[in-house]
Amino acid sequence: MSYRLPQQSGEWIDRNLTFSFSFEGKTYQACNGDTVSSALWASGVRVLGRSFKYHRPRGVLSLANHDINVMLENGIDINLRADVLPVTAGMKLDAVNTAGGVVKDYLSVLGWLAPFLPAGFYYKAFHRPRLLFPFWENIIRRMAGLGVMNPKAPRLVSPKTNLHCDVLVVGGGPAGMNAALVAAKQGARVILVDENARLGGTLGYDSSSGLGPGQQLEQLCEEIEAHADIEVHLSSYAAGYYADHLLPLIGPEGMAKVRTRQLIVASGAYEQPAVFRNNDLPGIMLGSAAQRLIQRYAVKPFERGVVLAGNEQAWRVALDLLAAGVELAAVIDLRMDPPPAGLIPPAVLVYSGYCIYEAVGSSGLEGVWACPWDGQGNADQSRAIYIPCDGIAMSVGWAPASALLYQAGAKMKYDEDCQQFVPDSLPPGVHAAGRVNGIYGLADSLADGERAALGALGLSSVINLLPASQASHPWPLVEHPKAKNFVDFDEDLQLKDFATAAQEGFNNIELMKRFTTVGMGPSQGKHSNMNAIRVLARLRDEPIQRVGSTTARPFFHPVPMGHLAGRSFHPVRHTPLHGWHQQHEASFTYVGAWQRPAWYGPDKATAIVNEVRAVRHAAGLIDVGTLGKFELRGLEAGEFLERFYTGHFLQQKIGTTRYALLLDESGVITDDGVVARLAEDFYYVTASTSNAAAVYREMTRCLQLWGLEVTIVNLTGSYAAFNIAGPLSRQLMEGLTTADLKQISNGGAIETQVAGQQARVMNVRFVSDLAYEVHAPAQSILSIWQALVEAGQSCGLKPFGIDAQRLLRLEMGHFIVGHDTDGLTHPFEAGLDWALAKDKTFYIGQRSLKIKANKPLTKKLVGFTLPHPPANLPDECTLVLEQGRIAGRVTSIAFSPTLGQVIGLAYVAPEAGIAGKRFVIRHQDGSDVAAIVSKLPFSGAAA
Amino acid sequence: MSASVAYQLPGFGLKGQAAANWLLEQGIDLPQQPNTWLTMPDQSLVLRLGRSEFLLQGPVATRLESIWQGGRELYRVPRYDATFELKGEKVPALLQEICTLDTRPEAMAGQVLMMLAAGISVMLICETGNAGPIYRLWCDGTYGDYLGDCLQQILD
Repeated sequence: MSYRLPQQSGEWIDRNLTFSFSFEGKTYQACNGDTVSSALWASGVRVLGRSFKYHRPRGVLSLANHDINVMLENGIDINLRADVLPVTAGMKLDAVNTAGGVVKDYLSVLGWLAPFLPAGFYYKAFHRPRLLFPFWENIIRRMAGLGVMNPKAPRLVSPKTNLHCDVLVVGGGPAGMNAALVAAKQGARVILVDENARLGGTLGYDSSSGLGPGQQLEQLCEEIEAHADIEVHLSSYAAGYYADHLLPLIGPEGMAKVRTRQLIVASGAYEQPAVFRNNDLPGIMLGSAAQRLIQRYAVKPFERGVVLAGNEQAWRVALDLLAAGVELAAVIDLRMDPPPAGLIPPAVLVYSGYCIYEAVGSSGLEGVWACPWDGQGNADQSRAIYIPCDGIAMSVGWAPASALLYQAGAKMKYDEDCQQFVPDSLPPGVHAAGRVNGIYGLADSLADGERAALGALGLSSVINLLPASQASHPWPLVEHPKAKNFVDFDEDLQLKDFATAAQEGFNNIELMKRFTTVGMGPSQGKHSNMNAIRVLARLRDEPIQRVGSTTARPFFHPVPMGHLAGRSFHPVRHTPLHGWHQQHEASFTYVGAWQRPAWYGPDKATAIVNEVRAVRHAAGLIDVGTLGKFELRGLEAGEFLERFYTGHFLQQKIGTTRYALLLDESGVITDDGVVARLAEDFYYVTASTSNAAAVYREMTRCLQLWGLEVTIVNLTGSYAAFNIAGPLSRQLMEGLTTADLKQISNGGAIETQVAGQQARVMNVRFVSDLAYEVHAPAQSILSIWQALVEAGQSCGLKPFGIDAQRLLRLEMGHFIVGHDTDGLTHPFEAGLDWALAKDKTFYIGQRSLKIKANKPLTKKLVGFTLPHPPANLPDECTLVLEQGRIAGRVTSIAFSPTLGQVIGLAYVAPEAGIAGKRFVIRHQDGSDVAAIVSKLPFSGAAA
Repeated sequence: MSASVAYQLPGFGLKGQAAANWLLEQGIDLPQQPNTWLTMPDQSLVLRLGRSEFLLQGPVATRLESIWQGGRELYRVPRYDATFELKGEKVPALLQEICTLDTRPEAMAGQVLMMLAAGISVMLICETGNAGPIYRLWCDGTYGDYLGDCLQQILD
């Protein structure tokens, strides 16, 4: 049977374009513009989903993306909300969290066990014995929950964009639309965002309100569309508020981060369900949901229905249902007073002072028991009447969509007349308008939007509206001895669960939230928090204002993980020699953002051995352009370095280099490098690849702090460098320069021409006793490198990568900061006492080192060899044991082709750190491997 | 959009307390405020990157290079920039995705934006003319390949 109505004025569907889709294996028809829920409801499908805990059948509740009654999966995405998911041709959808399908979910048997599964039962039932908790946890997670993530789902890139405006208006209802227009007309650049597919808010479906959905809405939309300074984002929601008016807008394609000068929150209000037994049966929906079905999708909500009334909205819902051809069995009015005369046709039965005591049905609503009540939750069952029906439209009240206001720091107060939280004070630059402000009714909403816009622009306004009276019923909850009167639909929380929480002592709103989990489901309490607060206020016998509310933190509405990830920028740096490396079969590895050659050639093991041999027996070239490179100029540059590093630099001779060790304030090693003095007031400093940016940042910070007359120029990107190492390196270099390299053979530095290019040459012996680092502007490095490669072709010169470099430096006994040290290593542990100038009055970390110097060492970095190496070497970071306890760890280990043995660096107990002493390494396979402490550099590591 | 990676564009970087005076002595008008820029009659660009740091690009850079002799409180800043010229209707959306600042021409008139874009440090200026806005974007040349690929991927 089709529930599709004749064409409605302003309907969102295109009847000329229809297609089929599948839900739970069955095929259905939809019109273009239908959502999955509206199409299924139009086809007479009533069980659309299952509840989180008891697997109860669920249908339409809000039809507004605010509840999770109907969540779907399509094989790729999960937890798709059918309320707002547009149908497309050929879609294949299933409900999430069912066992055996949505119609016959066998886990619905849990409903019978509900008396034994109250809120918090698992806190108490399964925490002992602790060993069994994972077992129970596994079962609970399978039975309760939402969709199951598909780890094989393809990655869909959703762009994250950044937008800026003068005024951001959240909410495209009457108040928001008018606020946007007023602000734009005053010259502001406006972004207007609404979660619906079209603008209008209540104007689009509340057909009996004000002027009706036609003319007024059309006029506002036309004006907004025509205004060049209003940018409209539909099907998007502002999911959170962050400092300085930064709000993420979540749209179908991705996230837009909006920075606005002024924010107008016109986000409206969420209609609230009434609480009575079986209030979640398919067919029971919010009044506004029934209106949306009728006006947007031309779907009759039910055949014979009841309106549960608690406010003025209910009368409009009743009239809309009648207009849609629904047989209105009754209006059950929670209030005692009869409706105004003439509002409802005489044929409609109105039960004033009645409540719905219980809804009846199994997989759908079949009827209701209505009883007179005292307005406080107690029904008089002796006068119960049964009304057969297949639908209920609940119009009992609202809760403001105020999450953004709370997050922005607004103070809210409970307005007893309106029965709603409304803003009491708002932070600068934040404004509220419309229902979130307690303002109902079309004319008032439009006026409130204007007031907010003028306020946002700093203009005065005479408009001053008071919150509407009785927009919500103060107590739309009915007790029932058999419970199943749900307060929170997300997690199947019943009215009695709140009493239990209070009894257990969780009677503060924050504690109750955590005990019951109210508001912690995907809906974040949009349909439950207000009733929960009412319940708690009553349990504590306090006014609602004193109970207060919780703050839904950003993001208060679920956001696809892909939207958060965005495009995921992963910056990559290439040295100016990158192209050359590519042409010469380099295999690359990442060092920070840099892509560096790890080795050259097709076979890794062979390549590394050959590269090491080349350096030890002829010469090798390695690209070290990734090093941090800084010029420090000025008469106080030496004084700066003296404070910054641990060594002496004021007396450093021009044309020499010195080792530079950098500590942090706690005395921990953070970096090392080389300082070359090139003139009286000119130092050239290198830092390690990984720490270059941090060292520069620290240099500039210290410069500000110390106020010295020094200019720092960061050349890390604009200068390139390579190292030529090995016994033939000097010979090869001398063929390309007129400089006397012997002059700098003992740690010197010189500015000269190499291969016709201006360069700085330093004797840096990291991988070999004879080695030169050549630094030159990025534009000229390739020609120098190529000249050397050509010159070395006949004598066995090879380029080498960082795998060979790490082995070569290990043979030399050099450690690498961050590899052989960690976030706690200080110089005494690393054997760097010699690098600390004892006679200086200050350097960074000196004070901490003085304290450490008075404490016994707990570990020491030493070289070691393995007399009987296993075939599979111990990994780096395997433990060093001393009489069964952990004494340290291996930091570097490798087979040295030069020495023909396994060598490494490790932290050992200080007393064990003497050459020739043995210690034990716990291999990753659990066996013990004997190691012998060795002097550094390892004997035989040739230059 | 057109984009070019041009490491070799003549660029002259200068830093130091005496930098502004030296440039003025060479007859070059300077932007008054840090992080602003101006165009010279020969279409050279003069960017003031700080109180005492400048980048000049175009014919003037070549001229300064030829007369450079250094001096007290006057230091060259070697440049190895990748520069991109961005123009066309897709550019606003492109910039909205790679950086967080407001890059509308009217929002950045005369300004040098020094910011993160696509995860790296860049400088951006916007030239306005009859042919529509033209953005010039500089980044460290070692990021040039990355940023070029990144921009192209977004545009594709």
